[in-house]
Amino acid sequence: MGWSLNRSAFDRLVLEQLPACQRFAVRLTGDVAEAEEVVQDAMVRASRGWKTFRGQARFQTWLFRIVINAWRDRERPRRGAEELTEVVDVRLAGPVREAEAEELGEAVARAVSGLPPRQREVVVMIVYERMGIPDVARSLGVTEQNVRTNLHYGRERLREKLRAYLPEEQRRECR
Amino acid sequence: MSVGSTDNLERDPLDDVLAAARWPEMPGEADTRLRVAWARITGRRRNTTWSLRVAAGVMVVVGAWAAVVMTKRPVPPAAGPIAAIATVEPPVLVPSRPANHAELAVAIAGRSRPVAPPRPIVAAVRPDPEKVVTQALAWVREKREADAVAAVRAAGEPAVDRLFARLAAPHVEERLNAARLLGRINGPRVTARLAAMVGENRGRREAIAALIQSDGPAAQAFLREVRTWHGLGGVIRSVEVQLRSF
Repeated sequence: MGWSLNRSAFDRLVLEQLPACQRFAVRLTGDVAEAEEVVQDAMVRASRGWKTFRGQARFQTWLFRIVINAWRDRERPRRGAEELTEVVDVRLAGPVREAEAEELGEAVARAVSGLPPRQREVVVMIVYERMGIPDVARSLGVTEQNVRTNLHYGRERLREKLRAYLPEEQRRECR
Repeated sequence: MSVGSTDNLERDPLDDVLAAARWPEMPGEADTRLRVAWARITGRRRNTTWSLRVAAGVMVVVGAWAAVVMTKRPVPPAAGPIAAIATVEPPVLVPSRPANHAELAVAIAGRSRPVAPPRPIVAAVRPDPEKVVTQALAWVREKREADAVAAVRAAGEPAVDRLFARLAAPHVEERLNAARLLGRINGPRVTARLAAMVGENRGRREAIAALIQSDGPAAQAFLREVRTWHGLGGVIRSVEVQLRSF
Protein backbone atom coordinates (compact mmCIF):
# COMPACT_ATOMS: atom_id res chain seq x y z
CA MET A 1 0.00 0.00 0.00
CA GLY A 2 1.46 3.32 -0.89
CA TRP A 3 0.50 6.85 -1.56
CA SER A 4 2.25 9.67 -3.29
CA LEU A 5 2.81 13.31 -2.47
CA ASN A 6 1.96 16.11 -4.80
CA ARG A 7 4.92 18.07 -6.00
CA SER A 8 4.47 21.17 -3.87
CA ALA A 9 4.14 19.08 -0.68
CA PHE A 10 7.28 17.24 -1.67
CA ASP A 11 9.17 20.48 -2.22
CA ARG A 12 8.08 21.71 1.19
CA LEU A 13 9.21 18.52 2.91
CA VAL A 14 12.64 18.73 1.31
CA LEU A 15 13.10 22.28 2.58
CA GLU A 16 11.96 21.25 6.06
CA GLN A 17 14.50 18.45 6.10
CA LEU A 18 17.29 20.57 4.68
CA PRO A 19 18.90 21.44 8.05
CA ALA A 20 18.84 17.78 9.08
CA CYS A 21 20.36 16.78 5.74
CA GLN A 22 23.11 19.33 6.12
CA ARG A 23 23.89 18.15 9.64
CA PHE A 24 23.87 14.53 8.51
CA ALA A 25 26.14 15.26 5.56
CA VAL A 26 28.63 17.14 7.76
CA ARG A 27 28.81 14.16 10.09
CA LEU A 28 29.33 11.78 7.20
CA THR A 29 31.96 13.82 5.44
CA GLY A 30 33.57 15.66 8.34
CA ASP A 31 33.92 18.65 6.02
CA VAL A 32 31.48 21.52 5.51
CA ALA A 33 32.29 22.26 1.88
CA GLU A 34 32.04 18.64 0.88
CA ALA A 35 28.83 18.27 2.87
CA GLU A 36 27.28 21.14 0.92
CA GLU A 37 28.15 19.46 -2.37
CA VAL A 38 26.76 16.17 -1.16
CA VAL A 39 23.48 17.79 -0.13
CA GLN A 40 23.22 19.65 -3.41
CA ASP A 41 23.82 16.45 -5.33
CA ALA A 42 21.22 14.72 -3.17
CA MET A 43 18.68 17.43 -3.90
CA VAL A 44 19.09 16.94 -7.63
CA ARG A 45 18.59 13.21 -7.21
CA ALA A 46 15.60 13.72 -4.94
CA SER A 47 13.99 16.07 -7.44
CA ARG A 48 14.41 13.55 -10.22
CA GLY A 49 13.15 10.62 -8.16
CA TRP A 50 10.45 12.31 -6.12
CA LYS A 51 7.76 10.01 -7.39
CA THR A 52 9.54 7.02 -5.90
CA PHE A 53 8.61 8.14 -2.39
CA ARG A 54 5.50 6.14 -1.64
CA GLY A 55 5.17 6.68 2.07
CA GLN A 56 6.51 3.26 3.09
CA ALA A 57 9.10 4.95 5.31
CA ARG A 58 9.49 8.29 6.97
CA PHE A 59 10.40 11.03 4.56
CA GLN A 60 13.65 11.69 6.42
CA THR A 61 14.61 8.03 6.05
CA TRP A 62 14.00 8.19 2.31
CA LEU A 63 15.91 11.44 1.96
CA PHE A 64 18.85 10.29 4.08
CA ARG A 65 19.19 7.31 1.79
CA ILE A 66 19.61 9.68 -1.12
CA VAL A 67 22.19 11.69 0.82
CA ILE A 68 24.09 8.52 1.60
CA ASN A 69 24.06 7.43 -2.04
CA ALA A 70 25.27 10.86 -3.10
CA TRP A 71 28.06 10.66 -0.57
CA ARG A 72 29.01 7.10 -1.51
CA ASP A 73 29.31 7.98 -5.16
CA ARG A 74 31.77 10.69 -4.23
CA GLU A 75 33.64 8.35 -1.87
CA ARG A 76 33.93 5.52 -4.39
CA PRO A 77 37.01 6.88 -6.20
CA ARG A 78 38.68 7.37 -2.83
CA ARG A 79 38.19 3.80 -1.62
CA GLY A 80 41.49 2.16 -1.09
CA ALA A 81 43.00 5.27 0.34
CA GLU A 82 44.08 4.96 3.91
CA GLU A 83 41.39 5.63 6.38
CA LEU A 84 42.08 7.88 9.28
CA THR A 85 43.51 5.85 12.08
CA GLU A 86 44.80 8.70 14.11
CA VAL A 87 44.61 8.08 17.80
CA VAL A 88 44.93 11.27 19.68
CA ASP A 89 47.20 10.94 22.63
CA VAL A 90 46.01 13.64 24.92
CA ARG A 91 46.97 13.39 28.51
CA LEU A 92 43.87 14.42 30.30
CA ALA A 93 43.60 14.47 34.01
CA GLY A 94 40.83 15.76 36.14
CA PRO A 95 37.95 17.88 34.83
CA VAL A 96 37.92 18.74 31.14
CA ARG A 97 38.21 22.49 30.57
CA GLU A 98 36.57 24.26 27.64
CA ALA A 99 39.62 24.13 25.37
CA GLU A 100 40.10 20.47 26.16
CA ALA A 101 36.42 19.82 25.61
CA GLU A 102 36.75 21.40 22.22
CA GLU A 103 39.73 19.25 21.48
CA LEU A 104 37.80 16.19 22.61
CA GLY A 105 34.86 17.17 20.42
CA GLU A 106 37.04 17.54 17.38
CA ALA A 107 38.85 14.31 18.12
CA VAL A 108 35.60 12.40 18.41
CA ALA A 109 34.24 13.98 15.23
CA ARG A 110 37.43 13.06 13.38
CA ALA A 111 37.25 9.53 14.68
CA VAL A 112 33.64 9.08 13.60
CA SER A 113 34.23 10.66 10.19
CA GLY A 114 37.24 8.39 9.80
CA LEU A 115 35.30 5.15 10.13
CA PRO A 116 34.84 2.95 7.08
CA PRO A 117 31.84 4.21 5.10
CA ARG A 118 29.22 1.69 6.15
CA GLN A 119 30.16 1.81 9.82
CA ARG A 120 30.23 5.58 9.66
CA GLU A 121 26.72 5.68 8.16
CA VAL A 122 25.33 3.36 10.82
CA VAL A 123 26.99 5.09 13.77
CA VAL A 124 25.93 8.55 12.63
CA MET A 125 22.35 7.52 12.00
CA ILE A 126 21.92 5.64 15.27
CA VAL A 127 24.03 7.67 17.68
CA TYR A 128 23.52 11.18 16.28
CA GLU A 129 20.33 11.04 14.27
CA ARG A 130 18.68 8.78 16.88
CA MET A 131 17.19 6.58 14.23
CA GLY A 132 16.03 3.09 15.06
CA ILE A 133 17.61 0.04 13.52
CA PRO A 134 14.65 -0.68 11.20
CA ASP A 135 14.78 2.87 9.80
CA VAL A 136 18.53 2.66 9.33
CA ALA A 137 18.16 -0.67 7.56
CA ARG A 138 15.56 0.84 5.22
CA SER A 139 17.73 3.88 4.55
CA LEU A 140 20.73 1.78 3.71
CA GLY A 141 18.87 -0.94 1.90
CA VAL A 142 20.37 -3.66 4.10
CA THR A 143 19.09 -6.09 6.70
CA GLU A 144 18.71 -5.15 10.34
CA GLN A 145 21.34 -7.73 11.23
CA ASN A 146 23.74 -6.01 8.90
CA VAL A 147 23.06 -2.74 10.72
CA ARG A 148 23.70 -4.34 14.11
CA THR A 149 26.96 -5.85 12.90
CA ASN A 150 28.23 -2.60 11.52
CA LEU A 151 27.17 -0.73 14.64
CA HIS A 152 29.07 -3.18 16.79
CA TYR A 153 32.26 -3.02 14.76
CA GLY A 154 32.00 0.73 14.39
CA ARG A 155 31.81 1.17 18.13
CA GLU A 156 34.73 -1.17 18.61
CA ARG A 157 36.88 0.92 16.32
CA LEU A 158 35.85 4.10 18.06
CA ARG A 159 36.57 2.63 21.44
CA GLU A 160 40.08 1.88 20.26
CA LYS A 161 40.61 5.27 18.65
CA LEU A 162 39.22 7.22 21.61
CA ARG A 163 40.73 5.09 24.32
CA ALA A 164 42.42 8.05 25.97
CA TYR A 165 39.10 9.75 26.53
CA LEU A 166 37.23 6.81 27.90
CA PRO A 167 36.43 6.36 31.57
CA GLU A 168 38.50 3.67 33.22
CA GLU A 169 35.77 1.07 33.21
CA GLN A 170 35.24 1.44 29.48
CA ARG A 171 38.95 1.24 28.72
CA ARG A 172 38.97 -2.20 30.28
CA GLU A 173 36.49 -3.31 27.63
CA CYS A 174 38.97 -2.54 24.89
CA ARG A 175 41.21 -5.32 23.78
CA MET B 1 29.84 -7.61 23.41
CA SER B 2 28.07 -10.30 21.43
CA VAL B 3 26.98 -9.19 18.03
CA GLY B 4 23.94 -11.39 18.28
CA SER B 5 22.76 -9.74 21.47
CA THR B 6 20.12 -7.16 21.00
CA ASP B 7 20.15 -5.97 24.58
CA ASN B 8 20.53 -2.19 24.41
CA LEU B 9 22.43 -2.55 21.18
CA GLU B 10 21.24 0.86 20.18
CA ARG B 11 22.51 2.38 23.40
CA ASP B 12 26.07 2.01 24.62
CA PRO B 13 28.09 3.79 27.33
CA LEU B 14 30.50 4.81 24.57
CA ASP B 15 27.75 7.03 23.24
CA ASP B 16 28.28 9.43 26.14
CA VAL B 17 31.77 10.10 24.82
CA LEU B 18 30.58 10.15 21.24
CA ALA B 19 28.00 12.76 22.21
CA ALA B 20 30.89 15.18 22.81
CA ALA B 21 31.65 15.23 19.10
CA ARG B 22 31.82 18.67 17.59
CA TRP B 23 31.51 18.95 13.90
CA PRO B 24 31.95 22.22 12.04
CA GLU B 25 28.72 24.14 11.63
CA MET B 26 27.33 24.62 8.17
CA PRO B 27 27.49 28.40 7.62
CA GLY B 28 24.30 30.32 6.95
CA GLU B 29 25.40 31.17 3.42
CA ALA B 30 25.59 27.47 2.63
CA ASP B 31 22.01 27.01 3.76
CA THR B 32 20.97 29.94 1.59
CA ARG B 33 22.85 28.55 -1.39
CA LEU B 34 21.17 25.19 -0.99
CA ARG B 35 17.73 26.76 -0.79
CA VAL B 36 18.42 28.82 -3.89
CA ALA B 37 19.71 25.70 -5.61
CA TRP B 38 16.50 23.86 -4.70
CA ALA B 39 14.42 26.67 -6.11
CA ARG B 40 16.46 26.51 -9.31
CA ILE B 41 16.20 22.70 -9.50
CA THR B 42 12.45 22.66 -9.02
CA GLY B 43 11.95 25.72 -11.17
CA ARG B 44 13.96 24.24 -14.04
CA ARG B 45 11.89 21.05 -13.83
CA ARG B 46 8.68 23.05 -13.95
CA ASN B 47 9.96 25.38 -16.65
CA THR B 48 10.85 22.45 -18.85
CA THR B 49 7.25 21.40 -18.67
CA TRP B 50 6.04 24.95 -18.98
CA SER B 51 8.25 25.68 -21.97
CA LEU B 52 6.61 22.82 -23.81
CA ARG B 53 3.19 24.02 -22.76
CA VAL B 54 4.09 27.58 -23.71
CA ALA B 55 5.36 26.49 -27.13
CA ALA B 56 2.26 24.37 -27.74
CA GLY B 57 -0.04 27.07 -26.45
CA VAL B 58 1.51 29.79 -28.55
CA MET B 59 1.47 27.63 -31.66
CA VAL B 60 -2.20 26.81 -31.18
CA VAL B 61 -3.15 30.37 -30.42
CA VAL B 62 -1.13 31.95 -33.20
CA GLY B 63 -2.32 29.29 -35.63
CA ALA B 64 -5.94 29.84 -34.67
CA TRP B 65 -5.53 33.59 -34.90
CA ALA B 66 -3.91 33.29 -38.31
CA ALA B 67 -6.71 31.00 -39.47
CA VAL B 68 -9.32 33.51 -38.31
CA VAL B 69 -7.52 36.34 -40.06
CA MET B 70 -7.11 34.34 -43.26
CA THR B 71 -10.78 33.41 -43.45
CA LYS B 72 -11.75 37.03 -43.11
CA ARG B 73 -9.57 38.20 -45.94
CA PRO B 74 -11.46 39.56 -48.96
CA VAL B 75 -12.03 37.03 -51.73
CA PRO B 76 -9.78 37.80 -54.66
CA PRO B 77 -11.53 38.61 -57.95
CA ALA B 78 -12.35 35.77 -60.30
CA ALA B 79 -9.44 34.60 -62.34
CA GLY B 80 -9.28 36.07 -65.79
CA PRO B 81 -6.71 37.22 -68.15
CA ILE B 82 -4.09 38.72 -66.07
CA ALA B 83 -3.47 42.17 -67.31
CA ALA B 84 0.07 42.96 -67.65
CA ILE B 85 0.81 45.61 -65.20
CA ALA B 86 3.23 47.96 -66.55
CA THR B 87 5.67 48.77 -63.90
CA VAL B 88 7.72 51.77 -64.11
CA GLU B 89 11.16 50.94 -63.03
CA PRO B 90 12.86 53.72 -61.23
CA PRO B 91 15.68 55.10 -63.25
CA VAL B 92 18.96 53.47 -62.54
CA LEU B 93 21.61 55.97 -61.80
CA VAL B 94 24.84 54.99 -63.39
CA PRO B 95 27.73 56.93 -62.00
CA SER B 96 29.92 58.28 -64.74
CA ARG B 97 33.10 56.38 -65.01
CA PRO B 98 36.50 57.92 -64.62
CA ALA B 99 38.17 59.01 -67.85
CA ASN B 100 40.53 56.50 -69.31
CA HIS B 101 44.04 57.32 -70.43
CA ALA B 102 43.07 57.95 -74.06
CA GLU B 103 40.36 60.33 -73.08
CA LEU B 104 42.64 62.03 -70.65
CA ALA B 105 45.21 62.40 -73.37
CA VAL B 106 42.65 63.91 -75.74
CA ALA B 107 41.41 66.17 -73.00
CA ILE B 108 44.87 67.36 -72.16
CA ALA B 109 45.67 67.84 -75.80
CA GLY B 110 42.49 69.78 -76.20
CA ARG B 111 43.31 71.79 -73.12
CA SER B 112 40.06 70.71 -71.56
CA ARG B 113 39.92 69.65 -68.00
CA PRO B 114 39.72 65.88 -67.42
CA VAL B 115 36.49 64.55 -65.93
CA ALA B 116 37.02 63.90 -62.33
CA PRO B 117 35.88 60.51 -61.11
CA PRO B 118 32.59 60.73 -59.30
CA ARG B 119 32.50 60.40 -55.62
CA PRO B 120 31.44 56.95 -54.49
CA ILE B 121 27.84 56.63 -53.52
CA VAL B 122 27.73 56.44 -49.77
CA ALA B 123 25.39 53.80 -48.51
CA ALA B 124 22.52 55.08 -46.46
CA VAL B 125 23.46 55.01 -42.78
CA ARG B 126 21.10 52.94 -40.65
CA PRO B 127 20.15 54.52 -37.36
CA ASP B 128 21.84 53.23 -34.23
CA PRO B 129 19.22 50.89 -32.68
CA GLU B 130 20.38 51.74 -29.16
CA LYS B 131 19.78 55.43 -29.77
CA VAL B 132 16.44 54.69 -31.38
CA VAL B 133 15.32 52.76 -28.31
CA THR B 134 16.58 55.44 -25.93
CA GLN B 135 14.63 58.09 -27.84
CA ALA B 136 11.59 55.87 -28.08
CA LEU B 137 11.54 55.28 -24.33
CA ALA B 138 11.85 59.02 -23.78
CA TRP B 139 8.74 59.44 -25.96
CA VAL B 140 6.93 56.82 -23.92
CA ARG B 141 7.65 58.86 -20.79
CA GLU B 142 6.19 61.89 -22.62
CA LYS B 143 3.08 59.86 -23.52
CA ARG B 144 4.04 59.87 -27.22
CA GLU B 145 3.71 56.14 -27.65
CA ALA B 146 2.64 56.31 -31.28
CA ASP B 147 5.90 58.07 -32.18
CA ALA B 148 7.88 55.59 -30.13
CA VAL B 149 6.25 52.59 -31.83
CA ALA B 150 6.82 54.07 -35.29
CA ALA B 151 10.49 54.74 -34.56
CA VAL B 152 11.18 51.22 -33.30
CA ARG B 153 9.29 49.61 -36.17
CA ALA B 154 11.22 51.70 -38.67
CA ALA B 155 14.53 50.67 -37.10
CA GLY B 156 13.60 47.00 -37.41
CA GLU B 157 14.70 43.88 -35.59
CA PRO B 158 17.91 45.29 -34.04
CA ALA B 159 15.87 47.92 -32.22
CA VAL B 160 13.36 45.33 -31.03
CA ASP B 161 16.24 43.25 -29.67
CA ARG B 162 17.54 46.31 -27.80
CA LEU B 163 14.08 46.85 -26.41
CA PHE B 164 13.97 43.29 -25.09
CA ALA B 165 17.31 43.95 -23.41
CA ARG B 166 15.77 46.97 -21.65
CA LEU B 167 13.36 44.61 -19.91
CA ALA B 168 16.31 43.86 -17.62
CA ALA B 169 17.21 47.51 -16.97
CA PRO B 170 18.04 48.38 -13.37
CA HIS B 171 15.21 50.93 -13.00
CA VAL B 172 11.70 49.60 -12.76
CA GLU B 173 10.21 52.52 -14.67
CA GLU B 174 12.49 51.86 -17.61
CA ARG B 175 11.62 48.17 -17.57
CA LEU B 176 7.90 48.87 -17.52
CA ASN B 177 8.17 51.45 -20.29
CA ALA B 178 10.09 48.95 -22.41
CA ALA B 179 7.35 46.43 -21.67
CA ARG B 180 4.67 48.96 -22.66
CA LEU B 181 6.43 49.64 -25.93
CA LEU B 182 6.87 45.96 -26.75
CA GLY B 183 3.23 45.41 -26.00
CA ARG B 184 2.26 48.16 -28.42
CA ILE B 185 4.58 46.83 -31.11
CA ASN B 186 2.87 43.45 -30.78
CA GLY B 187 3.38 41.00 -33.64
CA PRO B 188 3.65 37.20 -33.58
CA ARG B 189 7.42 37.09 -33.10
CA VAL B 190 7.35 39.56 -30.22
CA THR B 191 4.46 37.66 -28.63
CA ALA B 192 6.30 34.35 -28.99
CA ARG B 193 9.44 35.77 -27.38
CA LEU B 194 7.45 37.21 -24.50
CA ALA B 195 5.59 33.93 -24.01
CA ALA B 196 8.89 32.06 -23.89
CA MET B 197 10.18 34.46 -21.23
CA VAL B 198 7.10 33.74 -19.11
CA GLY B 199 7.51 30.01 -19.47
CA GLU B 200 11.21 30.03 -18.69
CA ASN B 201 10.88 32.53 -15.84
CA ARG B 202 13.28 34.99 -17.49
CA GLY B 203 12.10 38.49 -16.78
CA ARG B 204 8.70 36.98 -16.24
CA ARG B 205 7.07 40.02 -14.67
CA GLU B 206 8.25 42.33 -17.46
CA ALA B 207 7.16 39.89 -20.13
CA ILE B 208 3.73 39.65 -18.51
CA ALA B 209 3.58 43.45 -18.38
CA ALA B 210 4.26 43.61 -22.12
CA LEU B 211 1.61 40.99 -22.88
CA ILE B 212 -0.93 42.84 -20.74
CA GLN B 213 -0.25 45.99 -22.77
CA SER B 214 -0.71 44.16 -26.04
CA ASP B 215 -4.14 44.15 -27.63
CA GLY B 216 -3.18 41.30 -29.94
CA PRO B 217 -5.50 38.28 -29.73
CA ALA B 218 -2.55 35.86 -29.43
CA ALA B 219 -1.13 37.75 -26.46
CA GLN B 220 -4.50 37.96 -24.75
CA ALA B 221 -5.23 34.30 -25.35
CA PHE B 222 -1.85 33.37 -23.90
CA LEU B 223 -2.48 35.48 -20.79
CA ARG B 224 -5.83 33.77 -20.26
CA GLU B 225 -4.03 30.43 -20.42
CA VAL B 226 -1.26 31.56 -18.07
CA ARG B 227 -3.75 32.76 -15.44
CA THR B 228 -4.68 29.12 -14.90
CA TRP B 229 -1.09 28.03 -14.28
CA HIS B 230 -0.02 27.33 -10.74
CA GLY B 231 1.00 30.51 -8.99
CA LEU B 232 0.92 32.81 -12.03
CA GLY B 233 -2.58 34.20 -11.59
CA GLY B 234 -1.32 36.16 -8.61
CA VAL B 235 1.74 37.36 -10.50
CA ILE B 236 -0.43 38.70 -13.31
CA ARG B 237 -2.67 40.56 -10.87
CA SER B 238 0.38 41.99 -9.15
CA VAL B 239 1.82 43.22 -12.45
CA GLU B 240 -1.51 44.80 -13.38
CA VAL B 241 -1.46 46.76 -10.14
CA GLN B 242 2.14 47.79 -10.76
CA LEU B 243 1.34 49.04 -14.27
CA ARG B 244 -1.41 51.23 -12.91
CA SER B 245 0.96 52.89 -10.48
CA PHE B 246 3.56 53.82 -13.10
